Amino acid sequence: MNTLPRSTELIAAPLRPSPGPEPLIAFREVSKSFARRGEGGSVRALDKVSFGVERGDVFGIIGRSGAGKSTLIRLINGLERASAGRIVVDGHEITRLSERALTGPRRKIGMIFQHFNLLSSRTAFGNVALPLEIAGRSKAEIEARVRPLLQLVGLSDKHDRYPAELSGGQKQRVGIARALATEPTVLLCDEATSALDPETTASILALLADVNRRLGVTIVIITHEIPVIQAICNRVAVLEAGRIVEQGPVLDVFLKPAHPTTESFVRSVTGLELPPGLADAIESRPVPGGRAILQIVFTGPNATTPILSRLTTVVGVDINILAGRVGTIGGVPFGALLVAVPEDEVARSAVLGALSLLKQEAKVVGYVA
Amino acid sequence: MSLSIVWLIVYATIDTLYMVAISAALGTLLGLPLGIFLATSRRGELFAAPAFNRIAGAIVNATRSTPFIILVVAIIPFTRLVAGTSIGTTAAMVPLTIAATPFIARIIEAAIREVDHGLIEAARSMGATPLQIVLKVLVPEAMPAIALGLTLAVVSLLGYSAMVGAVGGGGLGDLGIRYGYQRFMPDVMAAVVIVLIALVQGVQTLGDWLARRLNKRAPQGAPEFQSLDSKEF
Repeated sequence: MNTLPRSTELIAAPLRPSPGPEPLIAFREVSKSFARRGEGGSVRALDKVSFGVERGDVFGIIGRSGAGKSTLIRLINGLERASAGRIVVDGHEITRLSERALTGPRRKIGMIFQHFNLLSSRTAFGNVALPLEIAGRSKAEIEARVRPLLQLVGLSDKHDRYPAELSGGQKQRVGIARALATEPTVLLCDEATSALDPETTASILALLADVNRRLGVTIVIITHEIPVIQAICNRVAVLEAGRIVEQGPVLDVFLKPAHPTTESFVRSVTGLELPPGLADAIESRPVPGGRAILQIVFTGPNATTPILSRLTTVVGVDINILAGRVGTIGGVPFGALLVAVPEDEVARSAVLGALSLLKQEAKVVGYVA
Repeated sequence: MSLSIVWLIVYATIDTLYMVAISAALGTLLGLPLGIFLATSRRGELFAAPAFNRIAGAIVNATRSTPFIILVVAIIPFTRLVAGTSIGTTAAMVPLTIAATPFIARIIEAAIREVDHGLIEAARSMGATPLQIVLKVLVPEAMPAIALGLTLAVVSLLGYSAMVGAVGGGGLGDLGIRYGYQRFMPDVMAAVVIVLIALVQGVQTLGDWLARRLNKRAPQGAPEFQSLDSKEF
């Protein structure tokens, strides 16, 4: 091989602006329209959607039914083809590959489904073996790969069971083992817990989080259930009528929702409501001799420190809790409280000042007599 | 009933079984790929070829709408070409196979269309080729319905095989017409009918058992699987 161009290239390389590391999954201005049956024209399911999923992310996409979630996730592995725009997954430009050329990349993109989509004619073992058979692996390889996978998902004693003999949660575990069989870099979850009860949902989500952590598999989840996002995602995008209206780190989006749709989604997690009597009595101007109502949001390590009692001792005001929520969002502890403090300028600023020193967010919601 | 008559019935039964078995086997051999093609070649499907799908569908319908006895007579030149003769048990297998093929194809088509579309999607997401989807997903998943459908086809072929007796086909139907009807031997006619009933019962029982064995959708032993006719509605 001639070495000259190579060395020039080496010298020239640092002079070129180096492009930032490509995200593992990149959507650029992706649109998808479906032809409308009979009456002609078309329905736009997705409209100029752009986002990136980094390696190791658990990326959630939330939206109501009909928002375009299913279409969006099917574009990632080419089950649906984009009408416009560019999709790159792990270096493969999905939008330019033919159905035949997609078979290779698809083996590196696992997928699980709301209704599991297991073959009823195959046992748990046979279902997990299917993608390996499709990839042309030998019998010995399949045997060596399927057993540890069933063990990973906690079904080592269910090899010979048919899907009809398994519970919903167990079926989804088989689905996960099957999706991981060909050692994918990405796992797509299409409403994977929507057909399961809350307890089973929690155990499946824990398994997915484990898969993400231990195997380093990047996960994309679409769902209409905010608890799913809350439980395991680190980034979230909100889909509304075919557009992404908001996206970012889960904690930011949950605590500072910018779009009404997002707000209505996260309300069930972070939203606080005043007790009925107070809600009617609330005023926007200070009431002399009354109380101020503050909303305080704690996150991170501070969420676990006894902030209120500290405030009481340090500032010396009485704090009355009206409503509150505590929990975790994407593994980060958080708390949200509505409290009432005596309305006098000094006390209120002392409280707010102390809170800002403690790095907590607080704002005055209103005043009551 | 004399001993020779009993032997006639035994030989006629063997002839019938022979005709039905061979034509059912050939019909399946031809009908299976045709049925798969019909089920997967509409617009947007695995082997999309809408024009060929319509042509194949039209041919299948034409064959199925021709009354069997007319089909037998109409294709006599073709039968002679294939079997060397147009009379006898072997010759009768030609029209039987030709009648069975489109029938079986439609049964296979219906069975494959019943397979949950989500399974095709799952297989595609694994990087399966269309042929792999057919062989590893569609056909295995449709097997219980295919078994029931083939049972139906064999039962129909038993009936058809009695008709080819009218054109010198041999078998139980031939025996019934020549001895039971033309020589006025009601005991032979009754024996033929009883043997046919027993054959149909036997085939149906065997088919039901096989379909139950193949069907893993319900816990073993439960009468969960719906037969083809109840699924139409």
